[in-house]
Amino acid sequence: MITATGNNFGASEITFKDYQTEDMVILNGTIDFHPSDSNYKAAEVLEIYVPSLLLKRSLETVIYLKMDRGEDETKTYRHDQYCTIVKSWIKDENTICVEKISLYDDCENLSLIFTSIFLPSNKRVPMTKFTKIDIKGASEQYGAWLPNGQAVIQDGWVFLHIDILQASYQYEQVTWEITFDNLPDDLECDIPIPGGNNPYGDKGLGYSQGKLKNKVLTIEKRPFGYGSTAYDPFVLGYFVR
Amino acid sequence: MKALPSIAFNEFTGSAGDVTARSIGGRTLLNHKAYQSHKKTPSQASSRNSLSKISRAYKQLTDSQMAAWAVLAEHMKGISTFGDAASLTPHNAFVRINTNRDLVGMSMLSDAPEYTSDVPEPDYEDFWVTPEKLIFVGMEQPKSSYRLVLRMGTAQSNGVTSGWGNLVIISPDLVPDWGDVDALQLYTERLGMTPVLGQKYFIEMYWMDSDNGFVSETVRVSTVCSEYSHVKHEEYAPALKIESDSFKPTEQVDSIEVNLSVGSGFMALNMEGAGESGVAAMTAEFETVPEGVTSGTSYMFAYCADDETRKFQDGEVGIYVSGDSGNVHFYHREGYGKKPYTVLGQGIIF
Repeated sequence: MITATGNNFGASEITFKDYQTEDMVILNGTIDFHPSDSNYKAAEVLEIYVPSLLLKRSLETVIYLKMDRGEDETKTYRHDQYCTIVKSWIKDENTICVEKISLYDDCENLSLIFTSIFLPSNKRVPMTKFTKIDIKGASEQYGAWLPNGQAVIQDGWVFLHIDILQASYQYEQVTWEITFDNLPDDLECDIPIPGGNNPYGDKGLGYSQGKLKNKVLTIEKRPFGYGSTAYDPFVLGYFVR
Repeated sequence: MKALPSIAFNEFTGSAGDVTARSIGGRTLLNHKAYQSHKKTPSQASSRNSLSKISRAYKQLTDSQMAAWAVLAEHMKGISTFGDAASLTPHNAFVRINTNRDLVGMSMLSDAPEYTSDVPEPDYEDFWVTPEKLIFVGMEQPKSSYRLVLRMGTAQSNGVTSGWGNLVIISPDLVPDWGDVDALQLYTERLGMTPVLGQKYFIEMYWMDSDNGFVSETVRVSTVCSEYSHVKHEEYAPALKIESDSFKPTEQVDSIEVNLSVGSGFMALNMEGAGESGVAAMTAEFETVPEGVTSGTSYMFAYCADDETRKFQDGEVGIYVSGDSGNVHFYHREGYGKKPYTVLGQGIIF
């Protein structure tokens, strides 16, 4: 676990669950902040200061920038959260940088969400491949088409790509539960799920927060338009065991 | 100059033949006797002018400034070959720090910089000295303010065991590019020649902290110019990156860089373009499949640069190789698949 020593955009305490070697860093964590903060307004690049990372510099990777307009009071299972992707990189062993964009600056509550891998360059190594497994969810809340995807399971971390899909509409007002039998049972983490569209033209994709524990992914609340065609929800990230 | 007959005793001073001895700080130092050539090159003149100017500037310091340099000098004591700490005067410290700063165009310091920690020695994984390459790899820059000072000389015959006396600064401020220090052009410009196969080259290098002028211990290595690297005895291979000019032109793709040097089992991709008409995909065909590239699959994010609402998608990224042909492709999977695509990020390969 890493606790940041500071930042330049007015966020309060920042912690990351981490997996590190001298050749890679995986960070999981959520950082809440307010774009009205004077520090955020002054920053050109968002910086997070950390105790020495093993990887001293990385190429650009992708993290989520999420906005939160709170709960949809007419629907207890729905919230107004949307997200987009921004670049992040390790500038030096003590500084993680994030691209600053103004897309959601008119919202009060923003978050940076890390489920990302940071890698260096110029390693003279042969091209090799990991072994993936196909994963398929089991859930009584879905019909014939079940969430499915790929996983790469390593000591210390797991890669996940999952096509989440829309559950049967009779279960629209409850928490969804999907079991993935061949995931490790020690993988316990928050799972960002982008997807869904707001027909009122909001920016980015809809956002849901899943939780994975004991091989079960629960999705408590979803944004409007979760099952909208062409906005399929998905999981793509690197998660620390 | 007075001389005692035996150089085996510590009290020997003076010259005998081509050897000169001096006693400094209780230690006897022996040197080859120097003979003045009475010639001055332009760079020697410039260097001597700077040194003279810096040395004279010390006398302009206040007492408190000199005291601060005295404190710094204590931290900067060198370790002699015989294991005893060599004393450094405040003037030495002032001249040394400011000479180092002058090398990289920094201003002279009147106030002694704060000593925080030793500058570590340069460390590298391997290097090549060939007629076409003078490159160190795996040299990480411990701190962003560090600059590598590289000194080398002209070719020496293989039998020379100590060619350290005629090295010149090839560059005072090299910064590794992802661990690579490529110095061939600088060497050629400085010395007017490229390395010669079979000849020996003496190399010195050290880090200098450009924040203050502190330097590391010097690393010395000599090697014979060869097609093989010094440490692992391997032929040189560039980091495996495949850029737009390695792909056949297509209206689908404006630019592409595939980086397979990010670590075993991983890749990084930047790929932009209009994509394939009527299909949620984008494909770039190799002109020739680069050596070492095989088929593999990953998943990455993409967004549409023209979309102000910044919706995004994920997609399957594939490297496909079949015989002498192959491609790199992006197939939309989930999320909002608007074109033109900007695919970015790093991913696992399976």
